[in-house]
Amino acid sequence: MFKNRLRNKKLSQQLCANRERFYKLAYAWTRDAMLADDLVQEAMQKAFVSFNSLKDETKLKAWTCRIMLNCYHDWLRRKKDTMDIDDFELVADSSPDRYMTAQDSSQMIRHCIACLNEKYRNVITMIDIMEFSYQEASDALDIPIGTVMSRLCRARNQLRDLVEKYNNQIFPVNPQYIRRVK
Amino acid sequence: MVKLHKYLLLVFLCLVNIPAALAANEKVVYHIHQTQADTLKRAINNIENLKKGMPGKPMDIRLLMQGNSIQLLNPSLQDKNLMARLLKLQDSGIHIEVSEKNYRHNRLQIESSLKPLLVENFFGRLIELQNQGYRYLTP
Amino acid sequence: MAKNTQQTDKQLSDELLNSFIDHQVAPDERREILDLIKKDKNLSNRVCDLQHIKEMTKLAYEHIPASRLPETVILKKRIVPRIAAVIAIFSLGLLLGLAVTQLNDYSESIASFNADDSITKVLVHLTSSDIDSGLNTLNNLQLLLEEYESNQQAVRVEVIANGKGIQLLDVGNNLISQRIKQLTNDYHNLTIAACKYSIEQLQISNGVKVDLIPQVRVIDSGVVEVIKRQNEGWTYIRG
Repeated sequence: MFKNRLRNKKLSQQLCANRERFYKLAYAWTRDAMLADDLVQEAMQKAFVSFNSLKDETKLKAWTCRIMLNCYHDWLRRKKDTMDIDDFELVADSSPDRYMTAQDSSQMIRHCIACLNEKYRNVITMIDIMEFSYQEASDALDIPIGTVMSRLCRARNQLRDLVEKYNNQIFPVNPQYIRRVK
Repeated sequence: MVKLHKYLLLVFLCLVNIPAALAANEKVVYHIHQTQADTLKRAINNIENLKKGMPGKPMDIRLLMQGNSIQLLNPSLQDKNLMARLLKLQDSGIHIEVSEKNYRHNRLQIESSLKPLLVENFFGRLIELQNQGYRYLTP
Repeated sequence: MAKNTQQTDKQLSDELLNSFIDHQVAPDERREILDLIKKDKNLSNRVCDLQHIKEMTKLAYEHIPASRLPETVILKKRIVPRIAAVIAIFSLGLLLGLAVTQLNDYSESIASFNADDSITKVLVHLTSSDIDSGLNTLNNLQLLLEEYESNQQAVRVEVIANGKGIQLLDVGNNLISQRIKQLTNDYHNLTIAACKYSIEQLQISNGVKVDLIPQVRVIDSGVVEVIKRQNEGWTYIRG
């Protein structure tokens, strides 16, 4: 029992050390600071009480990410009436015109990432924000490494296209990016 | 959460036994039917040892006496110390029950401080008590 | 590797290049790709492009609204629900324990009552040769049998004599034999048994020959019969 407590303490310390990254990841998904905080808090709480179910300590971050993703999906289900999670896409919270005038490239990039298909967004944010290896992303998303690679590839290609379009002052009005209300 | 459930379950299982143990009276019916001189002494020794052996445990002990063994409760025929011990046991909650038929038929003299219950159907009473879970003991 | 880059179409090459910029390729493969990049400007541009996207993504989240929460996440200890849970479980444990006690009492009374719920079975064990005691026992037996009869309740009584108790059942004890004869005539649910071993022992050790009352049947072992009956749920009384 004492060993277990030591292990749990070590794991919780590791998680806390990565808290900032988890927050960035959550922010990337939700685009809301308070929601991101709640998501991280909830995920870490759940992780803390479930350490015994983590068999491989090296997969701590991926495991916690998975928890956070599930929490996020739960939040989406609670919030929305519709729902296939896969169908759902975040609506851009500001119009293209604002980006043109503000020239806030970071905000623009975040917006473009938000416009990506959720599957692609998950992969690109895990690789680039969490700095996951492909294996870790595969564990967190419960998909094969090959799928991680192909989705990342598509995500970056799409992101590049979107950024290019923004830079050329063209924003595609694509029905797939508008929330569907059933 | 699973770990908490395990601990709570353990506590629950332990707690189930505690009230069961605490609440349970130790019930004993001590039957005297012999008339030897040392019968009452043996009985008192047994009962005192029983109480000593289970300190703090609530006990319901009934001393049932039939036939000529009731004579053992005659103060003129008994050692004073022994009678004092029996009275002390009665004060501590021991119930003394005697066969009414034997008591009246033989006009037996009983120590006035003792207030035994007179039992009409003695064997019926023994059966009734055993059916109620009383353990049966004799000297 | 060269063969691979020739054979791979764009998609695969993109995946490989992504792996390269993400440091997910093996060192020797990385060296090969670096060599190719040096030689192929297009490839170099594509790698730079991908690297730029990666950096852009990373930097996009460098200056986001700060988190309100502290670095260390404090585990919410839901005290009230836990206390409530403990109290609830404690109470439930107590109630269940009390219920079990009641059930034990009930089941003990059932067990001691008898296997056959409708008949009370009583075993009277005679071990003393004292005549007064013997008569008293028979009187009490009669009271018992009368009461059950008047209440129209079924009862079976078996008297087992062993040791010195055998001597009570000698035909020479007029009072006892008369009472037994009367009782066994009046009540067919009363049986008397004597231990064969004790009979033999009395004769061998004490030189006492017991001539049993006719109503008494002989059994091999009185003690065995006593134990057997108790195991069968008979109520035991020492007579």
